[in-house]
Amino acid sequence: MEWGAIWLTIRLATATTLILGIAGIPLAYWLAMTRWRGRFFLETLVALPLVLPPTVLGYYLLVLLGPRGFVGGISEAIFGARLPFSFAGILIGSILFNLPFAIRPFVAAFRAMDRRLVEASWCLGETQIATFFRVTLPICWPGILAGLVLTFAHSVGEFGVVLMIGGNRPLVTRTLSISIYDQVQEMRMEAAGQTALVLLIFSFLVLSLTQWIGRREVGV
Amino acid sequence: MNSDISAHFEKDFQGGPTIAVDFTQSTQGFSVTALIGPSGCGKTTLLRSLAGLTHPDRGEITFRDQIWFDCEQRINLSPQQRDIGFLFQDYALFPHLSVRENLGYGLRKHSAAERQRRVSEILTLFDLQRLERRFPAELSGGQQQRVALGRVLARRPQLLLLDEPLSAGPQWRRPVCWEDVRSALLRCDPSSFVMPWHRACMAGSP
Repeated sequence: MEWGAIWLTIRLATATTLILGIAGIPLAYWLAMTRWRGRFFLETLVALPLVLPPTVLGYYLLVLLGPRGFVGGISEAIFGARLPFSFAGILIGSILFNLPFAIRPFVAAFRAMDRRLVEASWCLGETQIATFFRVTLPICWPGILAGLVLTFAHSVGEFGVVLMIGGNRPLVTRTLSISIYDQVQEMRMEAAGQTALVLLIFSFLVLSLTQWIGRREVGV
Repeated sequence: MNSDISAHFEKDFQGGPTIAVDFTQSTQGFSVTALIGPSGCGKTTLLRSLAGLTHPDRGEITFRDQIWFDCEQRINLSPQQRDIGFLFQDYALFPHLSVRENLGYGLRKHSAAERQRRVSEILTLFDLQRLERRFPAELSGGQQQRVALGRVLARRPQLLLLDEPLSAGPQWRRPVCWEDVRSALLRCDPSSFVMPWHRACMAGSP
């Protein structure tokens, strides 16, 4: 069992989930509430990774994050760090590729909430931000939790984008799903089988958890 | 000192009609105003505009000496700034909070002792003591209505807006509910009320 790969995968998935949770909740709330006509453009952008081949996103990210790319150039000038084939690089890829898995459940949860509850809170003198924390978040948490769990699970299984941007560097960018690919290439079928089983059990447990959250949501 | 509510404004609805409101009402002492008209005539638009939940496209709204909305001067007080109570047609109780927490929701800026006092007062007034730990889903329609009204009155707003308070619930309940509402209003004595009624509802009310 490759403990280094497991540890790296957990770090990547946790960081992806945390960042998407913190940045995604305000973005999703805004998307759910705005009447701006251009929101369809943004919603399409967010949903794009659902249909885009990971290699396509990986290719553009490589170009953008590379030393001659816009983001890569800035990063190298400021931090002196090269993004491709680094943990930061695969983290950026993972965040972008997981955008729909976090944002879409969040938006659905916010849209499903009765808007009059928010208005009732305003009329009771609460500010918009206090209303968000006292009413919106407590009511929408099952949807938000489901989005976070899906994001975590999906970033554990991410393969194409990570391989494109991260390559296959042990302990730096070789996640579990890439190590299976590696093990099969080297004809180490038994090791690949072990890793695959770990991921299979993990995915099953996570999906059961989201189903359970979904059922609770209906029950309330 | 001006003691009127006055609302003169127009609101355009996309793909729908333009609602023009021309409304002045004295609020001296204890006054109750009922808005009557067929659905679509603008009762809810007037109420929501008074509450600051809907923004008119032209015109102005003043309450006593305060300007609440003025299109030309670009004044638009938020609902939080207007010191109003709004009773929603379907009550809009917070489903994740108990009856007691719902009643105390708008009192966060008061001291804990004052909050306690006012919530207890409302619980007694509306005969809700035995229900204080229940959640809205566990209440009957009439009980929900009392909680919603109590939640609004606990803040002692200077203007109470009731959006078709009696049109929900079965016909036979209405006179009873109306009694609840009326006695509570008389005891709480906020200075002014504005409420619309469906014409159908008038028939069922005393």
